[in-house]
Amino acid sequence: MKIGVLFSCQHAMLAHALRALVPGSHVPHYDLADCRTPEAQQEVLRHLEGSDILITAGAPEEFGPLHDPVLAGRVKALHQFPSLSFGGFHPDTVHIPLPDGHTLHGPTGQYHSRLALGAYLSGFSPGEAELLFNRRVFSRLGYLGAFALESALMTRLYADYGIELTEALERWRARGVFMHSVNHPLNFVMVDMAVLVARRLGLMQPGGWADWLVVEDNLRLHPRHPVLPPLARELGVEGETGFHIGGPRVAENSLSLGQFLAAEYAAFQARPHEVLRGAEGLDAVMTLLA
Amino acid sequence: MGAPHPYRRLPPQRFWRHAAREAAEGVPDPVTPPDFRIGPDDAVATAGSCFAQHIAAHLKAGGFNLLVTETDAGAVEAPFSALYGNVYTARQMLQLARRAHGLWRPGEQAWRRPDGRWVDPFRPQLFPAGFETPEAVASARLSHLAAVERLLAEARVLVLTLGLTEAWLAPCGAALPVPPGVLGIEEGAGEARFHNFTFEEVVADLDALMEELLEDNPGLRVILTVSPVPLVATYEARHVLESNTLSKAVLRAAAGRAADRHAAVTYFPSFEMVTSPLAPADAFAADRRSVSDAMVGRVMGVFSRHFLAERGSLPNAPAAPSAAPDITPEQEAAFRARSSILCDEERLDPS
Repeated sequence: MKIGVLFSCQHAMLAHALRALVPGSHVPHYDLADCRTPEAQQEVLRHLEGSDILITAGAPEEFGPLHDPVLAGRVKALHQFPSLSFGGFHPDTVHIPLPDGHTLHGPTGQYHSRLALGAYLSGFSPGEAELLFNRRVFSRLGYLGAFALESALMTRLYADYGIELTEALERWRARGVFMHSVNHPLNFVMVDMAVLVARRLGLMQPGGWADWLVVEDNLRLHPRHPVLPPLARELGVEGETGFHIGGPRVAENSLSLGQFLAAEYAAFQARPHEVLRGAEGLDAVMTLLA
Repeated sequence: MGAPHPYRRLPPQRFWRHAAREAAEGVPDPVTPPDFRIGPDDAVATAGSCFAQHIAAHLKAGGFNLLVTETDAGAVEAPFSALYGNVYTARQMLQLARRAHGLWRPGEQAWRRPDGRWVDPFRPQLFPAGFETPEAVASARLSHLAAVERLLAEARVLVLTLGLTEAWLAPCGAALPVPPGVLGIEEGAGEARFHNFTFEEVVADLDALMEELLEDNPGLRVILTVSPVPLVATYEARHVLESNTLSKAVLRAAAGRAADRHAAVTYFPSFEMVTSPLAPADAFAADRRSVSDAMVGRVMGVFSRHFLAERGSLPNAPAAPSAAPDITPEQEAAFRARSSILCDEERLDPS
């Protein structure tokens, strides 16, 4: 059976897990982010064409032949599932959209601090911004309730796709921090997601998990923000203070909060304020700091 | 049969003659037993006017865990939990906590003394050598405020001593520990105006302070005291005795109101022990203003008896409500939009 996977950066772990869960399957997998050019789209289409099942995170129209309705005509069955996103551990992390459709890159790649951005736009110095990373501010911005909110949002989203997430969420929560970042799950999360998707598509019998299965965590060395101490205490998980810029030797490639803020400010200074103001949830920070 | 005498079955400590008997035997113990005890491992922070320093010193000497999050060899030697110096008014404490959380940035930044050195308007006498530049003041202040934030987050108990209602406010509204003119400040200070906080204002400041402190640290217990040390001077056009009485009455009443309104607040009547007619004759030192060492010892003995123990019994923070969150359409839309963001990171992977 050929199961094509055209997904987010989570494609590899999802595909590897599906390959192990569905004996005899062939699972070519691609990252949608690599399919922005017509050449790349044609190349990927060539590999996915004729799939018995095609799992996609949903390709918009600009992806040409990979756009869901178009691609549906080139495979036997196309199923869309959302890429996993969960900000309960990283409620301050935000993407800053740019006019060209990409997002702003900073010291931790696409991930920025909403508080840092709000502080910058409000005229705080980096040192003054550092003071804001406390429980009172987190509470007022709703960060302390983010875990419950994100859990509810994620459960609701997946329910729309026929996947019941409640039990899986409890399993993940029991293991502590289960996200490297807002859109980078740990490997055991992706194994469970693969099980849920496989069950939904009738590739596995209902019931049971695949705790025997371990897939390589190819997202662990990517940039990430820490679960900041005020929130970590609230969630009963281990807090960190290092902002990982990516790469091996995590300790060496991590910035303190002060270093991170200085680098964030440098990234912000290169952009006009009106561009930066497009970040999601910024209004609440600006109001708090006004 | 007539109505029963309403005082007949009351416990002895409700009657003055009992208090007088206690006084004859030593010092009255007016403390209503608190519902918790502080153990040696419980982190206790102190702040407030001069009398708070006695409490800090006593805790330290008794082997209790006086929480200190900031020290500096250049600062005057005093047992402060962080280097804020004396915090005389409820407004000053409220503003300090807000500044420590980055949520208030007063306009008053740095003052230049007659000797050319710069000082922090919020602790102008704490560093006798002052600072070279206003930037150095600002830098030291950021470290200081971070230490105050840690203090308020980590303390299990905060002992806060209210000292004054008379204050000087900077043009930005900041409550200053001393007006700039007292120090001969030559540059950097706005024109401070005198303000005598009313009962209503102190109550409102304490209400806000308690609510905000519990926001930072939901398990925190606050022991409020009123400093028995009289005003050194009044700026009101009346005798200092009258101002002192009014000021202490306002603070005492406001402390009582705070204890009534906030379950986390306990009032410790050190003020009553030192200033009542039943206080020992040697309650004050020879200057008739400073509390004598002997009296401080007695007050702290009563404090120990009621608040300190070999095993603490501070209640844990109340559990946060676990009700399912209400989801707004905006939150749902933002979440779904985030789920569809494509990650460019893999192409940046250096491994």
